[in-house]
Amino acid sequence: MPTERGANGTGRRPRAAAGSGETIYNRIAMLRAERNVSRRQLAEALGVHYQTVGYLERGEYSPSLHLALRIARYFEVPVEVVFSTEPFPRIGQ
Amino acid sequence: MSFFDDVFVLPHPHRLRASRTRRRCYVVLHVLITLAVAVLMWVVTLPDPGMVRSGLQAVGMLGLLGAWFVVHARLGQATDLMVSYQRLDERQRTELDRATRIGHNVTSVSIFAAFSAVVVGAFLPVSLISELAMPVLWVIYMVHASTPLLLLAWTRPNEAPDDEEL
Repeated sequence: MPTERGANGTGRRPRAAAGSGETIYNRIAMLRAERNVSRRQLAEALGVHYQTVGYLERGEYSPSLHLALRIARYFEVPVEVVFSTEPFPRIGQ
Repeated sequence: MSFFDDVFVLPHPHRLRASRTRRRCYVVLHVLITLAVAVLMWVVTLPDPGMVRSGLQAVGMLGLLGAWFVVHARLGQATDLMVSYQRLDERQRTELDRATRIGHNVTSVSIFAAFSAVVVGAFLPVSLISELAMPVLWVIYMVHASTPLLLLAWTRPNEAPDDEEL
């Protein structure tokens, strides 16, 4: 399923989650790659199905506040580092 | 994997779970079997069946219901509908709730259509209405029971491979 790139190419700009008019950008895939964490490992740590991680990364599902906070806690970063309503700034700009 | 997972959950990777095309084929098969059962239910109501025809109808009905059960169970495993609600994560619950809502709406439309047909059919022979009652009830029940399952099986995308499988 094709994904859409953000205006400046960083962070996943999602196809809007079903039933929602809101666009939420995330850097889950990038954080996973940095920490060498697979989708399954992240899914097990969060207690979700591994396919749900894929949906989150592609922006096809917007997490609940609780899940978003648990994702941020897993990566040990503030939640604003993981999720944003604006495209993330390009690294190096 | 627990005993529950072994019995009710298709493993990954599994072709039916992972491939939307395969699931859609099963959906079409499910619909065709449902309609075939409805037709057979109507045929059963025809008069003077005779021994041979009765036997064939019975065998046919058992075969179709058995096939329906297998297809329904496989689709349920592939779409996690065999799993209890408490074991689903929030995304799966959201998907299931949406599919159930749509299923309820489709059931309402089906019941209204059947009701309208009965009202219009008041001008038709009573025998025709009694012959069609069971097949129509079967179809309405199947619409209610199967729409969430068929909707999820039809619309879910192909499963994305995990990083370890690339």
